[in-house]
Amino acid sequence: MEYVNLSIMPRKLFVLMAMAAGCSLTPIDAMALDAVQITQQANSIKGRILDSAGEPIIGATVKVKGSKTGTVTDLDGNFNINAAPGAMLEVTYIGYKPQMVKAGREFLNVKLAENSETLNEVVVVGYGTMRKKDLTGSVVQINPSKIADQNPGTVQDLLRGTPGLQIGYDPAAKSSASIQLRGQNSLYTDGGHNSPLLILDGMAFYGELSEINPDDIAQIDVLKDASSAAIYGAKAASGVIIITTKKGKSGKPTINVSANWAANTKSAYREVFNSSEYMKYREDWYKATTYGYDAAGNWGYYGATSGTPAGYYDNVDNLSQYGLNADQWSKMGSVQLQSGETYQSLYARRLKLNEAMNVYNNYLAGKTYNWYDSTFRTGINQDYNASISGASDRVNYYASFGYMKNQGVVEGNDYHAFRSNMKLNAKITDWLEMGVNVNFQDRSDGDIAVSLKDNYWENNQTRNSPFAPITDDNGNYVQYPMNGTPTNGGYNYWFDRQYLNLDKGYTVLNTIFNAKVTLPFGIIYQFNISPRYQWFYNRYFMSAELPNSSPASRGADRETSKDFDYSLNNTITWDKVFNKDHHFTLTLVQEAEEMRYWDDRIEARNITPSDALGFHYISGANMDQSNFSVNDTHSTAAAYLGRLFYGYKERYMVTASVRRDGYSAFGSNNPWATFWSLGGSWIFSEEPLVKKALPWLDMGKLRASYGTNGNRSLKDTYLSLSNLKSDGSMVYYNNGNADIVKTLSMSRLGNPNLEWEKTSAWNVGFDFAVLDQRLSGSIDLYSKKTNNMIMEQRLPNYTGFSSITTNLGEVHNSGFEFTLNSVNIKNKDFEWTTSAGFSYNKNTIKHLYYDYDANGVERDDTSNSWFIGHPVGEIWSWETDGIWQKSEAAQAALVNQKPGDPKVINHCTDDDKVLTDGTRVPVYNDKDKVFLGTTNPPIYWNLRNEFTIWKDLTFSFSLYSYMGHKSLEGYYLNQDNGGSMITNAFNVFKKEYWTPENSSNTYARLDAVGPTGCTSVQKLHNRSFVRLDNISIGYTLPREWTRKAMLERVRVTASVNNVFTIDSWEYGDPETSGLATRAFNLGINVTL
Amino acid sequence: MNYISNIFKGSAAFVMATMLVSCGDSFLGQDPLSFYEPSTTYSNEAGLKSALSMCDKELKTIIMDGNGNVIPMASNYNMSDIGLYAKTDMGGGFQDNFDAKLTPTSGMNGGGDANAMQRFWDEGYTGVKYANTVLSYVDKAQGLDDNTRNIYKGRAYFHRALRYYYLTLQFGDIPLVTNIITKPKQDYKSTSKEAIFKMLVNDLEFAVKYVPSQSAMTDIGMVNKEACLHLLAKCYLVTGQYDKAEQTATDLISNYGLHLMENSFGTFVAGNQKTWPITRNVLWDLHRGENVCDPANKELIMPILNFNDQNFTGYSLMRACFAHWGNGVIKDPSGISPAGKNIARNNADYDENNDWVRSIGRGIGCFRTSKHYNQAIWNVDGTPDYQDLRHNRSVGNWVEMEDIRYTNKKSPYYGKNFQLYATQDYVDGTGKTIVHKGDLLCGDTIRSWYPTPLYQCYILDKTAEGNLGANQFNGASTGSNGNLYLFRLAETYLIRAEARFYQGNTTGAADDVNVVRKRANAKHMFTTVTIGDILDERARELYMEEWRQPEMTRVAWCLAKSGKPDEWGHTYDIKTWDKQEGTDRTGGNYWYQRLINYSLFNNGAIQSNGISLEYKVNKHNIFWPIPNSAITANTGAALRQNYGYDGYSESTQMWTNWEDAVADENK
Repeated sequence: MEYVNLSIMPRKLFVLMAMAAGCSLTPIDAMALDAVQITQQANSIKGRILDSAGEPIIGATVKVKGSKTGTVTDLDGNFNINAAPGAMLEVTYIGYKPQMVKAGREFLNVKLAENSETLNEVVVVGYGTMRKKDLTGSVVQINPSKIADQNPGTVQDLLRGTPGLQIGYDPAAKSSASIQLRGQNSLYTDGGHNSPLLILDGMAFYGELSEINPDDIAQIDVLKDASSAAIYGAKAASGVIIITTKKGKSGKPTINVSANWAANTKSAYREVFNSSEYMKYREDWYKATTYGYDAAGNWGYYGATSGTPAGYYDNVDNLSQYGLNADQWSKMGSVQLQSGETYQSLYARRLKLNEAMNVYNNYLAGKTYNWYDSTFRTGINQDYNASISGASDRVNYYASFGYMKNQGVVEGNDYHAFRSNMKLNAKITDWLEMGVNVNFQDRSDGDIAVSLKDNYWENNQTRNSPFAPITDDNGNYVQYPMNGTPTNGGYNYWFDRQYLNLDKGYTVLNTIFNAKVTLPFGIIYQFNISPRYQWFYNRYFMSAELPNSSPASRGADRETSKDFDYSLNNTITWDKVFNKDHHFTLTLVQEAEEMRYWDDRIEARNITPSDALGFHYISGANMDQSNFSVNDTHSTAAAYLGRLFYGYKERYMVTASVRRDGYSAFGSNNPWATFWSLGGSWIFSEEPLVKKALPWLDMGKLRASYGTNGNRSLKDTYLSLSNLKSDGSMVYYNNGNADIVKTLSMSRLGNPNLEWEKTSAWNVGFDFAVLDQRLSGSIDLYSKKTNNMIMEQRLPNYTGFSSITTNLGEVHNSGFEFTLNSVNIKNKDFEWTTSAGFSYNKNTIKHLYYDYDANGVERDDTSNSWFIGHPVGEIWSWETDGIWQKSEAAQAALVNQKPGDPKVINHCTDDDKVLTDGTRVPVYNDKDKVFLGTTNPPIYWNLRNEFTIWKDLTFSFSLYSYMGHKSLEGYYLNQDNGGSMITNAFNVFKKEYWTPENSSNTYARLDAVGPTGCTSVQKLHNRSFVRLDNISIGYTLPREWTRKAMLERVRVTASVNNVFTIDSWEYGDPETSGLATRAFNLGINVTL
Repeated sequence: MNYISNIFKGSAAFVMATMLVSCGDSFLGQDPLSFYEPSTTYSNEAGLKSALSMCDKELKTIIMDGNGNVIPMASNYNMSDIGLYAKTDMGGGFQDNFDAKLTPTSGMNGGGDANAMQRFWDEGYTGVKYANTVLSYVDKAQGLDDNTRNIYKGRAYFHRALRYYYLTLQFGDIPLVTNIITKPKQDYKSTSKEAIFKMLVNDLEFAVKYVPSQSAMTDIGMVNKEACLHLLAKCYLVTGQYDKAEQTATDLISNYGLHLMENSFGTFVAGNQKTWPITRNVLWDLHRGENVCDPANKELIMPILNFNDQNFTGYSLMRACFAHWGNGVIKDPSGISPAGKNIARNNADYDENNDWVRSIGRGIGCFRTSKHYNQAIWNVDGTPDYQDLRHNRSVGNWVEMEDIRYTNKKSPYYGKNFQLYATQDYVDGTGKTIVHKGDLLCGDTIRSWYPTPLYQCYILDKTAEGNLGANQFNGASTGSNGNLYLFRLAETYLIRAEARFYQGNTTGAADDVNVVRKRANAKHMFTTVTIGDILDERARELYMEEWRQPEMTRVAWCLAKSGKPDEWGHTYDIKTWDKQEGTDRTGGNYWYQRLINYSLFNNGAIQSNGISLEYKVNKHNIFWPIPNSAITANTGAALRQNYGYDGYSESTQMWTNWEDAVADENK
């Protein structure tokens, strides 16, 4: 008998290990083992435990109720237990509802239902895992499979919709949106300072999120409060996002292949004028230059002082209102009809179309071209993924390959990436387990897209006149579509593109190796190391063949850089239950990191005898005009930490941690800092009294935590050191020859006392589930304080330095988050679930430089728009108040304005200038500025509804909203002639504007100005919006069909991203301020 | 047993791994790889030299920013007697009404098409930092003897003095910074301009003692004793030490082998000789970048170097300053416009005999000259002096609009000279009168009709020259020799003339003015001069070379201090010359009086090309406002705003003794 027993033992252990490989040793497993004592009895019951999909469940615990007899299922889900027929068996497994079955004489087939009570889910908490039930902090788990129908292209897409996380929006082909958790902690923003720490399969991940294929992700855990995050101390002040990739399931190998296609269209961007609107606009523009009083004292076009005869800029068809005939019209003013000229030509010349001869000629010929259509396109996105996974007795594997090729809606905006992931875990011996995880990515970086930049000196072909041609009569692209010459000649992307070439991207290898040794007395030792290699290459070619270019500034850029980082840790975990009720988990970690970076850059210019070889040949470059540079960096970090979890009766839980962190960037003086945390929770629903009193309460839990964290994300690891940088050369004459001296200048003022920024935070939470789990949710209240902020303390620039990096200031974030999940309808053929999230964050700057005025009030930093008692992003500006109308010309003139210009509220009247006749003239300065709101949305909410019909057809839609924020904008002033753009006949964005005939109190006149003192005063806008982010449909083909084709499962999906927005912003998309896209997706997913 | 041994092995691995990264502070040591640290790098002469060379390099970047239509330098002329902003399509950014537009919070820009006034604040203090870098480290450097150390100090003092000379004359009472701060300081008080000038005199007296004369140096472009003397003479004027100013100027004129160039020399550089031939003459050669540092050039005191690809900044002098002759507002007498065109050499219409863009540049008229400069000051007894080489059309130094010829091939007037008014009716083939006699043929005389002192501003645009498709010849571009004068002996004579004038020696002053005039072959010689004559001579001689507004401010200051009358007999009170407001005709200061008497300022609105412009200045605009950003960044104390601007208060404390300001910095 003993013999049998022994043979079971290792097998059971292995099963346990297999589980632990992915999620470490969880307390419940340990307890399960302890609780089960195996004794051989005469009657044996055999059976098999399966999940709802019919897959075997490995490692489920089967116990005879009321006895100490128990066992665990094997790899095929089978068990064999000594029990008498008729005994009650209790089957339990993490994530599944416990089930009682009566043992019969036959083979038992037990199907476990998945537990919608997510409390028993295993959550990754950093250097280990915990049952969600045991958590003392605020942790959110995201299951990517839930939104698989949407074909999320990025990890950000998975995260969007999590309360407390603010995910940005990026319309580009690559779509790399920003992430922020619970408000902006710090005024320092460089180096991704306010972004959460990323953890990939247990190790800090310093790559970019695009390296991780969403298809490979099994689960994401977001640590929101300081106590959970404190285990990551140094880098976790802005929260932690823990990504766990998929692993193989035992059974036959699974092959999964998916393909997704999307049509990407422009959903929002400002339009430009078409040809007739363009002419009308030009007419209005020039008429606007003649504003003034006429002889009768009325204000309008063609004022008496303008010297421009009435009707001069008007079209010849439009003269009756001036009492003119065409002949009179053609002979007045400075530009008059020439010999043989048409009226149309005269009109065009008066509107200065002849400043751009191509425009002028095409206008007369009636030829137009749509530059806007030539700029935007419908992009096609493709995303293909394949994976193979499986597990055997001792080895668990998962391998995937994905290829993504995206086209943005702007011509030339392309992105592609190859991603693969290989994961292998092997149990070598009973006590040793090893794993490896290799992540590979090759991605493009940047492209040569049509530029939408709108400063006048930047190339932007949408501004070309609608009369400017793209090709000449022979069909060749025109270099200067506007006037045919290099100056103010306009820009044709398609012409320039012929002389450019770019090959730029990253190749990344992220690896994780781990070893786990099970030691006696419940101690587990782990060693993890994650070397990361990143190679960047940039090959850019600008041909000097580009007509009218200067070879001295054209040629090839060749740049490569290499990052080699590693982080390693030694972890000891000791997990022990005393007297059944006292559960301890102790974790001790020692950690070290080293980051190295090398960058080489060559800018070869003026390559002779020919640059026909593109960026493949640079030896012929003119050395004086070329450049080479390097930039290498090296930084190190180290940490020691300890964490103790104590649970009593599975109802009372406490977690405490302490961590000491060191980082080389923090001066010679303060590399080390200590962070700690304490958290507790109480599952009051488990109290017998509560159970009795509130039978409808399935679960209720209160949590409270407090912790401190640091922040070391910096723009530059050498920020605390003064630098001397090369500022080029100074060349003297030495006996007629050039004497070249390499200059050095100091651009950064060092600060040897720079130290860690610290964030401390408390969090109070409440989790609940009621009505048989139909309604569940949680509420979290938090308050964070960041002090010793890494700050660019502003210095008066006449010191030679505009700032110094130092530790100052204090910012608070407080708010609450509310999550609700409900199963509205659930029956055999129809299920409707709703999940909603709401978060509110209040951000307040408490201190800046601790610099007080005579009254003891701390001073604001107006230049950065930082104000004590106000949020980061506070808008402090002048307040506009409509538009001066014609009747108010005299008042407007006092402050050098005209009707059609914006009125500005004169909040401070004490400093008004009083003229000798007693007239008060407002003086506009900082005293007239007021607080107008914040640019960062305090409110975020989202709502998602899912419908499942006949189990195989799902439909869902989700929307999200940012609310309560505002922004300033100066577009309404229509100051369009910067860089003489109007003079040179360029087009502008379609717009409304004030004219004497069509006056408005919202839009200003063309070329409007603010009053003296704030001539470019901006206007305030409400930026709140709601976006219907996604609608998707998914359908799993009937298995009876697919099985015939030897396919396990075939699912087809269709979805639309960014369906619409509700907002009041008129200059494009409310979230990006400009361009946004809408994608129509189609996908198919096949499992073999 | 095996189990145990494996545990042992595992533990050993753990211990080893721990030791491997045993995290002492040495593991966390900082390891700067690709940049120098100041304390180690500035510890020897090579380091100091690299720091000092930044000062030399910045001489040009103050006035050039490498791009833009409006060169930064022009901001020193927009509010002067001889210049006006002229970019008429600038809309609200047009720089005419400084009275209304120039405030501490708006009106001053770092560059771009309006002005670069803020740039002079920023770059001025950047230059001060470069000089202070040398001064802060020079005593710590090893292996230098005292004399070498003093040469470095002297050169740095020169650079700092030059920056403060202009900063003070542009911005009045300003914060005085004399070292590299070692901890944040935000409680600067302003130092009075009088006190700053006393420090400059002190520093420059040190510099002239130690900095070697050019004859003892190998490099041209480094600070020499001559430049220190020249600047010192100017500073003596400001501080009222006229005798010392005269002596210093005399010393410089007499003892360093310098003399005005009298004859043609160096390399002959010109545009298209077939279109606009230049007869070689001394002033043409003197102002070519190629000749600034020619060993034969004995008039050079110190250059601004801009000749080598490794240190080159574009300077679109011709583009910014020359009339916008090639646009649609100019029509020919038959009504065809544009009458003047920029035609590239690879264009079918190209005609080498009518190739104006290569001869006189592609002006876009952002900045123009006043009538006082381009007409009044050349008149002798009512007729223009075209004999003066600086105003000489026949040798090609000076180009009137009427010298340019129509270049539109469609025009029946092709190749004929520009004319401002139609001299006869033009009747087309159908008998229709297109142009009437007397019609104005230029729609925008502000921007597109004024003469050009070509000899001063012509720069061979090498990049455009090398590109047959180029129809823009803007000024110094890559490959060009863009050298300019920082100081030139002709100005030393004019400084001495001032020194003599303030001492009452108007005939001696006339002698100095005549030296400059004689070399230029001017018709008229003075027997006695007014301060107006001296400033007019500066305008003739130093156009786009001197910083006109600051120099006028200096003269206005000196005049008030000396109590001497101006050419109209007005005297100014040193107590009030910089503390008056208003736009009326009386009072103010000498700068203000010249602007309203000699230029378009404060004469009401004018029309050009259908746009109403009003050139206006206030008496208080003599100094530009202290930028609001400088005031708000100085949170611990109030900077003093200049009189007349929002925020000015007489009660704002300032240092009136530079030593106190320096002591405050070091406290």
